[in-house]
Amino acid sequence: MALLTLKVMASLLQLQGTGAQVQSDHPGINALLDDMQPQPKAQAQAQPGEEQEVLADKPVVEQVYFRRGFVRAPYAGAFRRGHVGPGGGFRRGFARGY
Amino acid sequence: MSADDQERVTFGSQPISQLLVKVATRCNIDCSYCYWFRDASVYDKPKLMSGEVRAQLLRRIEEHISRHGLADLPIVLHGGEPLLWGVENFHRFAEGCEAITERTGAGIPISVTTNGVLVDDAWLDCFEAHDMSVAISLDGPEHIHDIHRRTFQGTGTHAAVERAARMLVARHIRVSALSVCNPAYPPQQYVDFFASCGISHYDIMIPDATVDETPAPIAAFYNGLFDAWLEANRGKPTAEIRIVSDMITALLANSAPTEGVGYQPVELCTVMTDGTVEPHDVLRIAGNGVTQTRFNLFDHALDDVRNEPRWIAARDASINLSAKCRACKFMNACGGGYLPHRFSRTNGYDNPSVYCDDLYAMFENMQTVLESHLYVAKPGGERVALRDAF
Repeated sequence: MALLTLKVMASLLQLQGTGAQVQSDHPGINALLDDMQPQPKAQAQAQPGEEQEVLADKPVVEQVYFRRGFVRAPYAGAFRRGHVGPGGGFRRGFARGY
Repeated sequence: MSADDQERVTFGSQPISQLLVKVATRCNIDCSYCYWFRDASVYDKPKLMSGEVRAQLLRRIEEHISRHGLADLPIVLHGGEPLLWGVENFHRFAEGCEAITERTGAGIPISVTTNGVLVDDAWLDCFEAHDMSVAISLDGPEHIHDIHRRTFQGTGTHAAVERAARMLVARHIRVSALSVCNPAYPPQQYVDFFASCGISHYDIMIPDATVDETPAPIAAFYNGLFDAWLEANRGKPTAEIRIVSDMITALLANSAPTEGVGYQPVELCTVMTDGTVEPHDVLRIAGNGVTQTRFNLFDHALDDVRNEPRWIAARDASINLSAKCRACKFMNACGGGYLPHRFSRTNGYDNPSVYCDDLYAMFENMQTVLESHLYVAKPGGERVALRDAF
């Protein structure tokens, strides 16, 4: 069985037909799945005038955070995080408030 | 290589998007496993960041935000022990950041990583006034914490740190705990302790070690931690354990929310107390002076560090994985492990992690468990187990 990346799951969903979704019977895993939904491609592109080297055929750098601190602090409820989707792109609009 | 792998051969560039700021190079306690003092060159730096450096740092932050049109620039105040900088300096720095936010519209979320010993009401007022979040270094219950986290006189610090953690929770300041795993103890002891303190957001980090060392195996601990995470979040989600959620995310999404998990370039930089800027500070684990550069805030813009040879070397090392890693089915999820854990005196970073066997076992276990919990939901309400859906 292939590794269960979202890409593999997306292919799987195509096989299963329109409207199919990958879900989990575990609330914690389900919450993480919700946070992992890919960004729309348009969102992943740099804005005009930005001094960024973003090449369409080249994966862009996603923010990886310092392990020895919590750059994005916790919040009232578990599992909301400033996650960067696999679509890539420099995240300029993280959801704040956590 | 899989199709996923081929898409990750090269990475584009982005501006520096977060800062680790060392406001104090000394510490008020004497933890036995600290990576910071493995590099004696930290003693050559000023003990505390001066007002002049602080002002220049603020100027560079504003310049950087404006030049790159950043919506935000998160900052972690770090040390040594950052609270040694003093509460007044924290206020001044935060006020400087707030003024930049007013002028530019960019958010500058500030967090601080502290051992917690100095936390008192004045500090709580400061964190609250400036909406700072706090990561407190706390290795779970007393009998684990006090093994390594002791004063210079050799006494345990747990009582003081637990008190600080409870004060932060009581004031509703956003607090996370940072633990280092001690695989000799069951992970459930950590989980139970943090639940008893009211801390729902924490990490239990893999102990630092290079390839030249022989650390204790960790797979059993982390597999147990994953079980504990599953149990804690079986009903209403109650515990976010960063390494667990990061590993799940890395496995499913090929993404890396935090360095140390996933295959992404590590583009971190560290501002020192004298205004010099270095690559990732944890690379100090490799020995004296390994992170030192001639780059400084007075002569260079923040993003200039990207042209600094040691910064480039650290970034390149994070994505140039060893042959064994490149052939591994978990390459994208694991990313070779935490960069400092790949260092050896003979090969530099061209090694699998010293924890390679453990990481493989951890990801394999996690994948098996995840498969059993995932299913395809069809519009008509039918559920197809993932294994049956292929």
